[in-house]
Amino acid sequence: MGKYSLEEYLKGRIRGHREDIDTDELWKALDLEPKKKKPWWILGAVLLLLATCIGVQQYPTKSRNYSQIENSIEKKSDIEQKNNIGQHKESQKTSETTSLEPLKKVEKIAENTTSQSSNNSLEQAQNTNKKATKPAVITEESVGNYPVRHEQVKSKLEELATDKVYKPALTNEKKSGEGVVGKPSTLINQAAYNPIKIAWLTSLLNVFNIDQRSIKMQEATETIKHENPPSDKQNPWSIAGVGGLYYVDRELNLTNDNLAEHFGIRNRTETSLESIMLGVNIRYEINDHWYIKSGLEFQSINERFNVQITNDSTFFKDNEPIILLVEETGDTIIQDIGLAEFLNSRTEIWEHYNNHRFINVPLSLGFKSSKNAWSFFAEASPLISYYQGFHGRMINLDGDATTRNPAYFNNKWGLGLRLNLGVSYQLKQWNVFVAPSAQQYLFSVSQDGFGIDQNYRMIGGNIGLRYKLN
Amino acid sequence: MAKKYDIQEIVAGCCKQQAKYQRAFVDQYSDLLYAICIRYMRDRSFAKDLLQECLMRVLKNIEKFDAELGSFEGWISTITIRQCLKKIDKKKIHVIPLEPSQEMDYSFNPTVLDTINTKVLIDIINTLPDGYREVFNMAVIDGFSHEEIGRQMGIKEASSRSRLSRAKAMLREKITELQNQESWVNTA
Repeated sequence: MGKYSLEEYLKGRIRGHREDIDTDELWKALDLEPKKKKPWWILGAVLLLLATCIGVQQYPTKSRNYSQIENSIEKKSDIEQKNNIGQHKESQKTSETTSLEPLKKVEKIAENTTSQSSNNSLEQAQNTNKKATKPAVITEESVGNYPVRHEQVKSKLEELATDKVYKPALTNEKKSGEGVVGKPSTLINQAAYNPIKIAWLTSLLNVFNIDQRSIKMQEATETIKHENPPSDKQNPWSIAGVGGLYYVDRELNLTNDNLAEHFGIRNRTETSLESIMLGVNIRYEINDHWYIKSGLEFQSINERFNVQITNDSTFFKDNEPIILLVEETGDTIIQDIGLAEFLNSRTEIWEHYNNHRFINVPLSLGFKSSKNAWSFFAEASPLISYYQGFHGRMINLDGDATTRNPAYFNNKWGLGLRLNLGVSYQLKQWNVFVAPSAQQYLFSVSQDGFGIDQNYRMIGGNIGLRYKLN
Repeated sequence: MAKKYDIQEIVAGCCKQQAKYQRAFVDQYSDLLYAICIRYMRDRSFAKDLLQECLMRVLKNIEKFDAELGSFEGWISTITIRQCLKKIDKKKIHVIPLEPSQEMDYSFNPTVLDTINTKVLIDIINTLPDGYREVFNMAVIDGFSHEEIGRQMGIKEASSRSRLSRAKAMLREKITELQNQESWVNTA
C-alpha cells in the first residue's frame, strides 16, 4: 500500500472516459442547417405543377370545342334525316341543336337548293341515306348535281375535304360507310370549323355565278358571322384564394412517466389559441355535382406561453469575507477563508406567443348542388402536411425557458383530414364562398420518442373567392 | 461498423457541411462529450439534451478550430464544459458554504480503486453538492486553473480554491467509507 495522489488517480481514470450513447437517435434529433431548405423546394415544385395545370387548361380548349361542334352536327343531321322520313319529334330539340341554329340554316338552304335543281338527285340521295342511316348533307357529289358544274368549284371542294385543318371531320370517314354521305367531310362540317372558310366558299360560288342558291348561302353565312358561335360546355377549371380561422383544441398525451413533471408544467404554462390558414387551390369539375380540388396552404397554430422562472445566482461582496473562528486548546484562531457568497433570487414573469407551422397540400373530393346563383357543397380533404416545427419559447426539461429544440419538435411529414360544408354565391365569373370546417392532424407534432405526444384538432371556417377560368 | 475518419477529414468535411462527415463526428465523439455532460449535469436525461446542443454548437463553429492551438478533443471538451456551466448557471443552485477542510496527507490503495467501474467513480463524484462538483471536475479532471474556473463560473478565485478543498475532503471521506466496506470491492 503506497501513497498516491487521489486526484491524479481520478484524473487518469475519468478523463477521456466515454459513455455509450445511441448515435443513430442522436443524429436524427440534430437539426442541421441544410435540412431547412426543403420547404422552398417543395413550394417550387407545387408552383410548377400549378403553372402546368393552368397551361394545359388553356391549350386544349379549341380542339375540344371543335369535336363537340362536330358531334352536334352529326346529331342535328340525324334529326334532319328523321324529319325527312316523317319521324321527327319535338322532344328531340336538345340544347345542342339550338346551339347550332346558324348551321341548320345553311343546311336547309343547301337542301332546298339541291331539291330545286335536281329532284332526281335528291331522291337518289335520300334513298342512299336510308340505307346508310346518315344525314343528307351537301357533299362533293350533291354539289356536283348543281346546274352549274364547274370543275374548278369541284376541285376546290375536294381540296377542302382533304384539308389537314379539318382532320376531325376526316376521321369520320372510316365509320361512315359508302354512299353519298359516305364522306362527312362536308361543306357543313367544314363551315362549322371556320366561318371565314364558308365566307370564302360563298364568294367562290358567287364568282362562278351559282344562281339564287349562292345568295341564300351567303345570307346564311352572314348569319353565322353575326351570331355568336355555338356555346361550348363551361370550362371545368377554376382557381381560388382561401383564408381560414379556427379554434384549436390541443391534446397532450404523456407516454413517458419520467416526464410527468415537465408534462404538468407545460399543461399549466401553455395555452392553445387560434389557427389561421391561407391558401390557393385549383378545382376541376367532373360533372355538374362532383369536383376534385388541390392546392397549397400555409397554416399556423398559435399558442401562448406564460412563464414564471426563478433564477438564483450567487455573488460576492468585497470586504465581506467569511471568517472562521476555531477554538483549539483554549486558544482562538481566526481564519480568513475567502469571500462570502450571497444568493440572489430573481423571478421573471412574462408571456410569449408561439406557433407551430404547417404547409399542406389538400386533395379534395367535393359534391355541390346549385339553385340559381347559390350552391351548397360538401368536401372531404385528406391533407399531405409538412410540419415546419415549433417557433417560440417553451419550458425545457430543466425547467428553463428555451427556444426551438429539435429533440422536442422537428420538421416532419404527416397526414391530416378536413371536412367542409359550405355555401357559395355566383357572380358571373366570380364565386364567393363560406364554409364551416373541421380539421384534424393525424400525427403527433412532437418528436417520436420524446415522451409527450402533441395532437391538434380544430373547428372553424373558411372564406374565399373563386374565379372560373374561360 | 461505421468507418473511422481522421480528425482532419472530419473537420474539413464538417466545414463544408457534408452530412457524411457530420455524421462521422457524431459517431466518433458523442460518447466522449456525453461522459462530460454526465459529470457536470449529473442527470443523464439532462445530459442527453445538453449533448445535442453541444454537438450543434461544435458543428456550427467547427471552422474556428485551430489545430495549432490544441487538440480537437480538448477543444470540443472545452466547448461542452462551457455549455454545461452555462446551463448550470441558469438552474437553481444554492451553494451552501461549508466548513473548510484542512489539507492533509491522504493514503489510499489504488489496487482497490482499480476494481471499481469508472461509471461508479463518476457517480461518486456526482454526489458532491452543486457548486463543488463543478469546481472539482474543472480543476482536477479537466485541468482548469482556479483563475479560469473563477472566470467561467463567475466566482472569485479564492472561492474556487476553497470549494475545491472542501470537495476533495468530501470525496476522500466517501472513498474512505467505501474502502471500509468489504462489499464495495466487488461492485465493479
